[in-house]
Amino acid sequence: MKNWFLFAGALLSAPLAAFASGVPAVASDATFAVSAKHIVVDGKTTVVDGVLIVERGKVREVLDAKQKSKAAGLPTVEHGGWVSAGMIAARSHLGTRGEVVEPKRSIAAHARVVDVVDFGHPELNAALEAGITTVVVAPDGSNLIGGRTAVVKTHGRQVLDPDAHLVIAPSASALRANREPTSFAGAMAMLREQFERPEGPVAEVAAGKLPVLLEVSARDELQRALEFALTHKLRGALSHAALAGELAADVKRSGLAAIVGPFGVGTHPRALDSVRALAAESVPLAFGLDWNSAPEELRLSAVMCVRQGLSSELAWNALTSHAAAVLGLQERIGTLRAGCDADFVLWSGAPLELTSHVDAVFVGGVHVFGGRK
Amino acid sequence: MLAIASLVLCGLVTEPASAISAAATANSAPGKIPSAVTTGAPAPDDAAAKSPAKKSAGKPAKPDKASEDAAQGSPAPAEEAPPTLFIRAGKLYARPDRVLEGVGILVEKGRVVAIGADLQAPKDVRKLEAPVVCAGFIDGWSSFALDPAAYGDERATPASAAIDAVDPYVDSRWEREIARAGVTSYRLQASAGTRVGGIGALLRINPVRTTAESILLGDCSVGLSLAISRSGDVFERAAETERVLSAISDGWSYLEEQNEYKHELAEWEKKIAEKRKELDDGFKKAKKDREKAETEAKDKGGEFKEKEYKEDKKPKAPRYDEDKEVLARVANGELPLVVEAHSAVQIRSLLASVERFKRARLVLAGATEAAPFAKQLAERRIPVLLAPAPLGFYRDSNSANATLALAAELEEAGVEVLFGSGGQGGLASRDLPLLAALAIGHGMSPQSALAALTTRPARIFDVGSRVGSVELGRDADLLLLDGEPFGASTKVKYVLCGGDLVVEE
Repeated sequence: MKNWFLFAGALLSAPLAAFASGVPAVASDATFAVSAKHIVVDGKTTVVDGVLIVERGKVREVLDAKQKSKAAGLPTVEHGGWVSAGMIAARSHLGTRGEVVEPKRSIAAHARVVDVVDFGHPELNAALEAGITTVVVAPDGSNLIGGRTAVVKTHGRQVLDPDAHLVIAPSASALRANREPTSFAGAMAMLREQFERPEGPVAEVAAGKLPVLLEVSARDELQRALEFALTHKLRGALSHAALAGELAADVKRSGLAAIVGPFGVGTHPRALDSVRALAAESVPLAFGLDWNSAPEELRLSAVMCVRQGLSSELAWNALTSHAAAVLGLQERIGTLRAGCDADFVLWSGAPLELTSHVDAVFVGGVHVFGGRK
Repeated sequence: MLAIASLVLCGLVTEPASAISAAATANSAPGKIPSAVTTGAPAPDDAAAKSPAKKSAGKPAKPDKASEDAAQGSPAPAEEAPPTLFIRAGKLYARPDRVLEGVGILVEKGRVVAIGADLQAPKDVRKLEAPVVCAGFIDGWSSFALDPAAYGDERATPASAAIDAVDPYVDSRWEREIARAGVTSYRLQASAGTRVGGIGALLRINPVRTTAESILLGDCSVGLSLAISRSGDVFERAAETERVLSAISDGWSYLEEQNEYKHELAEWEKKIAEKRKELDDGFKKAKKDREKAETEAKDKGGEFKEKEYKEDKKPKAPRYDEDKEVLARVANGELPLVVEAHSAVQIRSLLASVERFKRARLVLAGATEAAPFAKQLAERRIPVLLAPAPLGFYRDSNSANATLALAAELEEAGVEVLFGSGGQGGLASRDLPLLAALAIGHGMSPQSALAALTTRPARIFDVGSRVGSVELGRDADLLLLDGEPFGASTKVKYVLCGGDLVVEE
């Protein structure tokens, strides 16, 4: 049963080249091969004319042109374009129907976004179709402590981590006239109080077991957040700090990663330069999405940074392996190294070219999107 | 000898040939009054050299940018004419459907003066080299440099000109950012934030020249928007379309009145001349008759009354109305009418309402839900201006059914698609080439995408004789690239804006 399904060489000349129709359902424990012109194992390694071997939903290995014969006899997907790991949105609100904000209390540490994710929501599917296979679903920054984020795959109701971070937002967006905190000083006071007698998830954060997602925007908010993070030895990531690169050395010292973007039409060059500055200090980077973001904006954000001078390798890592590392899931997702989940995308061309499109997506070795509908 | 290379691009699509025949008609009547200009079909580039009657609105000059730039070590001081440059191109996109391999291009006084494979660089002329050269991109809709107050000015009327709302102090660094991304000119139109946008203008991005020097065409379009609807009611919104377009009816009646007046005036002048001749010929008799009548009146103690001729009454000119004046130019197709509409309801009512203006040149902008109308748009040759951003025009209420594949879908149905950043202001123009790349990723051919950013907007907005292609006599708005125009890894090496070398990487 060789070549039980074939890609009609998705070459550049046929922008919407598709599968041969009638792709059979594949058991997730099947062993098969994907042969492609380019296989992006990670930001550093791209195998030309290689073969990806998938076994029981995991990557067994990636063979180069010389080792190709090892794949003989396996059912093979022939793809004329590129193959890469699925991308990761390191912050999003996908599939939550807006149910991520506790409206009455500003301290909602016990709230978990995983409780409100609608796994059948079309937003998750749209992300999948754009080549994003894993997303962090997060409360937004409108509460001082917004609750816990979850890491989920965009297909198959898979929760990789139900308690990935605790969202803490010592920023203007958490201030309200009708409930506390009403001022920055009040916000910091409340936060210190929480950490002096830590309970529940805050205690886990204080003990260094649970990472944080620090939602800040303005420069002064960032400075306060960084100081607080140093004092309490927080680990985790900054989110939304558009100009964090202008304090790159401080960010580096804090040991926090930075979740940047999304960038879109008209983004100020300062925000793009900030990413470059963070990269120069080797701050771990990942890209995120927002309310009202289209999933294509994740890749667009990375391309905009590349145009502004970020290296393609770094940009790609931020979309995949570095994002996985920020989530502590580098052994599982974000690359096509042996042992990782077989979450991969078949592209018509190089993934960082906007002219390339997603031909097909596999999650856990199962073909879940692609082909002409 | 020009070496015409075989097309490298896939999915070869030629520009609609039908436009060429319309060219002849439009071109054969250059001296006629505007009301006689035949349109309906968009005029092609060469014919689009607009009638000299078009005014080029004056506006304040930019503050002295030259000195500012000189301080930053800018290559081209503003007082001087653009330099003479020789460019060796590995591959030249003269037009999207015309690719030349291995040619030299000579640029002099801001224009392309020679192109050829055997062309040699003159002595003492700076030589530039690039693997790929193409025309600078045109943003079909931008509000870069537009005064923020004008952006959402609800009191704007059809005669409000975008050119009068240009901020002459616009930061030249931003212009450089936009040029660096490959966009060298843009249509400035105020209607993104308001229902009536007034007259749009085509301007060049040029950080080393004054705004006044950067005007390609002071009046290139009239913009209206149906997207700013405050009413959620479907029927109400549909009726709104009719209200907006009734303005064009007013323009049309104004035009008729004007023409009627012109006709009457001509007739009157003719009659007066006849009468004068009659009087001159029969002068002696007339004099005698008059004297006689005068004496008779005196004898009878009555009063002499001068004979009245009906020709004494000169036809009265209709009252001048600047807005109707503009709308008349829209109604007769002299100025393209750009209407932003998103919902299917609005697009349907717009297409139905515009039909009665046979000469009007409608450009549908935004067009989020245009897919069901693709066939009709193609048949009626109505171009569609898209902002192929992930969320369309970034107006929340309009993005519900936005799809990046729209450009490809319309293209396939035969609709002419052009791109604009959507009047979002700031640096949106900078990102237009990225949006075009996204459209290619979603099924549009690279050749069409290039046309959507160069030849098409140039032709549709009547500046095809100056920009949008790299041909003899055209303005030297050139991109010198190290790879194909829409590649993520392609670097811009040099950008020429009107012959000025404004970007050197």
